[in-house]
Amino acid sequence: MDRAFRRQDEARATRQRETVRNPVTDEVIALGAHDLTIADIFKNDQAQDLFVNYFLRGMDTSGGLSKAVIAAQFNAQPLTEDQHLGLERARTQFNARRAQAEQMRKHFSDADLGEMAERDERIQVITGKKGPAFTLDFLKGHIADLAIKNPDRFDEIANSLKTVHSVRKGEKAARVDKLVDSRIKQYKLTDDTYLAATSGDSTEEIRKALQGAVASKLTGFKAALSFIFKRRGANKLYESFQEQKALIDECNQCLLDVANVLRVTISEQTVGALHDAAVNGKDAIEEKRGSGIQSIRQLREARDANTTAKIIERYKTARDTHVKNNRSYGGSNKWDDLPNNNSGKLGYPIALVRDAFVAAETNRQDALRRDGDSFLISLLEPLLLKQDEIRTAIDSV
Amino acid sequence: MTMSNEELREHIDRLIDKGDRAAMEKFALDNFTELPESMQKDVLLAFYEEALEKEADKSTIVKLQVQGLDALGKLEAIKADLES
Repeated sequence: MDRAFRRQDEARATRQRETVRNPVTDEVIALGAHDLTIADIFKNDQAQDLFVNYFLRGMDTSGGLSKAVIAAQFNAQPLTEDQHLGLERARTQFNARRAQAEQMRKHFSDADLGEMAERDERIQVITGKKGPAFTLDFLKGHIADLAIKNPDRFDEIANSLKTVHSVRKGEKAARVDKLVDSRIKQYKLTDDTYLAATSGDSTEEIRKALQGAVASKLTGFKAALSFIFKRRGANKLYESFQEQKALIDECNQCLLDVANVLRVTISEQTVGALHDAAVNGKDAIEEKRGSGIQSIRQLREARDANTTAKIIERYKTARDTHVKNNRSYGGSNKWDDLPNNNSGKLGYPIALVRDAFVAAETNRQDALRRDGDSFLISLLEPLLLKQDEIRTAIDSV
Repeated sequence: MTMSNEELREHIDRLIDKGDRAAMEKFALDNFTELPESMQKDVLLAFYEEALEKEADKSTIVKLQVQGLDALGKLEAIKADLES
């Protein structure tokens, strides 16, 4: 039975290896030099650090597999069948991610950086201060790290690049804008659609209204096309003068609908409002997303929750809970009576309670770094206590 | 010269209390080379990611524009047929 499961798992791993795709172009890519065995990974310090400390830890939130792998590697402790399978799955995905990161790096060229700098003044300022070569290296290095350390964020960036890439390959945005502008001039259009879409009170409402406008565009286009194909398919376009007039009216209405929504797309405000709403409207959905910093208010809360005083407060609570549990198992109800190490005295050693607390605090900090507003998160680091500072703080209690 | 963690913390504390995102961005750009290297990377990637998202929004709209222009062309052709 175990062998059958192992074969299934190996077959799945082979399939995954065969179908690794370029995250931007969707082309199938070969793993090449990234097809590493576990032994290869452990021979390379950097690969080992990324695999054990980030990738495995990210996949295996309980930390059981990471610990077992380290014990197997350094203390020759055997892995169970399940751990073997988990490790093989992790290795396959790790290799695939690294191969994808290499493909992503190729999309960060001098030309791409130049284009982004033209569009965003902030990139321009940074490139001016650090130089294009340095800036490009910074980005490429960071992207490669993200593939392993924060795969969700890596995927989000890949998706944006994919959209941009597909349009750049086809039509140039500016040219299409001009074309739309000249094509809709003959229609008498008002700003009603745009005004209706942006009249909401909050950015979230604007975002929803604009998304609605976009959805209605698609519906409008589809209806128009279906109308055309239906009539084109018939031998006769109309039976009578009344029908001819009705059809022309219907056609005019479709033209007006399509032109009206096209009018919305050439407004710079639309793009700006969509983007602003996507960035600033995050407050409205933050409750659903749970962790991560989405707003300045949340950054402030994270700062206030990570002071030495607050950490000591949480530590005292954890300590009290531990003593209560110890008592329920027949041990002492005094913290000072707990053993300092594995001395055989009844109770969980204080040192391990402290280690567990530091680990829990580190996990809390990691959660803040995930899924949020990347710029606000970039300001978070100086506000968080380092592991040794947390230890010093709790040692003082 | 790289800013010390204490200096950085003081600045960021003030900016958080002010609650002004634009001021935060200005601080990061004005003092970019004085930020610790890891923070420089984070800030750069954050700005790049945002610019890319904006570009992707624009690209989505371009795709719709292409579909819209196509629909307009076909509609105008059928109207010409109807009127002839």
